[in-house]
Amino acid sequence: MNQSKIDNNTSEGFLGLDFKSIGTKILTTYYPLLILILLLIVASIISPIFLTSGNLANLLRQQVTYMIIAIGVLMVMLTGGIDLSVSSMAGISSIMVAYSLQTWGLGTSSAGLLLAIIIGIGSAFGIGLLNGFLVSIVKVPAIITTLATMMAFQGVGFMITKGSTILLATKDTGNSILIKFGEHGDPLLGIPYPIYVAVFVVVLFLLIMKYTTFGRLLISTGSNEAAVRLSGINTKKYIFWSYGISGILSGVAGVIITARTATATALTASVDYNMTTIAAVIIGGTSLLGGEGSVGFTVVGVFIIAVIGNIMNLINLPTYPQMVVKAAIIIIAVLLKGLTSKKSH
Amino acid sequence: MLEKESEIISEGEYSVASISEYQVEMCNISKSFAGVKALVDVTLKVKAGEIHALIGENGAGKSTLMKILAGAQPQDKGTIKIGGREVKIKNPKDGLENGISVIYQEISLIPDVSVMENIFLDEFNEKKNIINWKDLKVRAKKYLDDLGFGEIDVSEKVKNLSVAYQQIVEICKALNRKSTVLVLDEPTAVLTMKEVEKLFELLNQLRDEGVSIIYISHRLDEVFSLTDRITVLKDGNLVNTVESQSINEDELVRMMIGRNLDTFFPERKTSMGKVVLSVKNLKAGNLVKDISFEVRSGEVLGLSGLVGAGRTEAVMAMLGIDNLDGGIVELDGKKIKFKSAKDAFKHKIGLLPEDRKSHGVLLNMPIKHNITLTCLNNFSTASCINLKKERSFVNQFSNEVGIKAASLDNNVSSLSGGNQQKVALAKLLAAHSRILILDEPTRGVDVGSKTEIFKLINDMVEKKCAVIMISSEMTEIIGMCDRVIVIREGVSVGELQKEELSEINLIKYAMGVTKDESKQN
Repeated sequence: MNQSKIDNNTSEGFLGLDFKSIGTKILTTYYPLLILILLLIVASIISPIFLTSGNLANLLRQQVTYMIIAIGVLMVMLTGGIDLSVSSMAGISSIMVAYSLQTWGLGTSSAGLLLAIIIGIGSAFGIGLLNGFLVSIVKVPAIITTLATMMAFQGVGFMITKGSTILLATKDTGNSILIKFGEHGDPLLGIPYPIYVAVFVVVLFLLIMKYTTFGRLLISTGSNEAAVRLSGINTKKYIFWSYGISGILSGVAGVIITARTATATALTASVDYNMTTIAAVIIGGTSLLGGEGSVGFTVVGVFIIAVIGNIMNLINLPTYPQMVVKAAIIIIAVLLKGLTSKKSH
Repeated sequence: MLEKESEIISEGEYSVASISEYQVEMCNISKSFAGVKALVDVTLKVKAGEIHALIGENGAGKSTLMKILAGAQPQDKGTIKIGGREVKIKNPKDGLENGISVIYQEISLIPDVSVMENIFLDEFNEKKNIINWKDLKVRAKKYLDDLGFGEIDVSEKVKNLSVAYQQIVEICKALNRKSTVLVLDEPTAVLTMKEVEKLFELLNQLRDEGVSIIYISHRLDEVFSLTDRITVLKDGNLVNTVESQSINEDELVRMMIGRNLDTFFPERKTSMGKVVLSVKNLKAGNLVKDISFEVRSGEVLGLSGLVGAGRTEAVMAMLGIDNLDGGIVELDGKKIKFKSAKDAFKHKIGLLPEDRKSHGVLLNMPIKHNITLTCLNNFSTASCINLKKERSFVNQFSNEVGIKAASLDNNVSSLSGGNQQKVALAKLLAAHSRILILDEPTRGVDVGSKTEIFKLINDMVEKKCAVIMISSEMTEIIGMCDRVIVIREGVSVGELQKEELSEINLIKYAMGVTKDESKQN
């Protein structure tokens, strides 16, 4: 605080210092974008395949589910919380869609498919609301709450599937529509449908954060919960709904997972979705304390991890070392965040 | 270049200056914050074995001067000599190495750790990795015995001690560092009479041992009975340094105030209306036992009393932010029970919390978003914010309130304390609050902004707003309030009308006419 007072004072006098502060501002605010650009350059140098449309389309398609879930995680982290249960919520959604299509026979009609999707997203939403209730009303710390629901619903996933994989029968009307949605693109531009969903989600939340009172008060709550509460605002509401949103978006991702693979398994609820999305949100410059972060940079964060993964694939690095690299990136991202925010104060 | 020169001088002077009679010499110190001058050319010299009072109104620059001495803030200009030798104190570590220990108003001990660990905390840094608990206990006990506070249990966690004892632990910690300069920032503000006596005994003992003590206080009787010399600051300037024996209380007050109180506290036209809010026999927690007051529209009601008397707690319970255990709250003559801050805001009651940084503003959010936090609905349709409308409102409103900022897009953390407070206040005004509850509205605010904040309050009052002002600054209470309720130990003990307001009356009620010793522990 005092430090910033002094900074203000000195920068009034010297033009040079002003330039410096503009420079640091770019560095502190836009560093995720700089990293992504750097990575794209590195990737295209390392592998000639990288910049081919096939590779890029593949890259984009793979990131759809991560991007959608990451937006949900961002909402929670903006309030100062964390959601470790996104993988389980996506898993439950994926399983419930497949289960209701196959076992309950909803797959025979398109109306049944719609119902199955509602059941899938709805169950993930329910888990999200449970998280929100426990965190905002019962006041169980977010990390404990979502760790618990992660475990619980991973278990529930195995209980429903009995540990095996649910296969969708492709001949049923509803099933085939879902699979087509997952695999194919629109006839006009050839862009896969799930990408439209991801773009829709990103744009929707960009608008919510910029133009709605909900977005403004959600990020304000994360910035200083006590001050917002004492300003006569019900902060519990925003904390509660952030987990709800995380549930819905994980649910949407779960539907896409089932559509893409025509199967559902409890293994979807592996921690990979947690780690990757939380890492993406952090790399995107979101503060772990809440109140700081943006939808745009979260998308950038998702792509930073994706491009690094893609580079590792292109140079034929096996899966397990890739995990080590990803873990290292998370640490580096947090360090970088700490470094840049220290500079700005 | 300049730095080099001064270093050479200090080297050269060393042999001569080491026989200086002064332990501390701060010469021609200047400091400004974001253009606001906090100190201008101030010189303070303290002898070894002297208790030296540093007095002045809040905002006079005492704390800033001491922060510079401790290394918590660098000076813009001026030199510091310790024991006759010029030193550069750039950070708190430099301060400690030069034997300077500051005991701030906010105790800086580790609450969850025992007394002895707190006293010897510095040693853990440098000494062997294994703690000799037995030795620690014996030494801590000896320290406290020597100081006459043998009754403090060295194994007790600091948070369980009374504030007075916490201060003693701080002093022990300072002594263990072999501090030669001890700065105490208003140590008696929260102490009972008996505790004060004990503290003074201790300080006299330390003086006799050759420690230089700089004593910041608002209580003039203390200053006269305890100190050897007095330095008076006013608005960041040095007024004078005098022998305590050579001056009387009136002269000292004249030196401190030195200007007309009327110009500092702007005039306002008062026309009071009906009682809008009243509380009777409020009870909440341990601190609020029986508090009653009422406030009219167009009136500023002061809640005065010592720190910890239960003023803030009473207001928080009244608004439903903390639990209310008993009593009646009436709004416009109708009984009401606020469920939360939200509920209170719905009834147009705005609260300016005591702790600005953690409760008043969102430091890491833009100024504009802070201001519109409470009134987003005014430029939103179906929860969609009209950013253009918001911006034009903020531009106009921040002008009215007088927030000085390079850009309203900047975060609040970039503002000075005074401007931050104006943002917090603007937030309440933007919500059209008709009852304002201001808890320490000018704490940590520079003199210039203070007057502006008072003007804002007056504007609101003239618009028929009812204001409840909690303040520990008596001049502020006297200058601003139409009526004052004095609260002592959770009980409203007196009501003073405007013409009865004086420091002596306020203190009399706040401290209790008879000496009070029930507060021990």
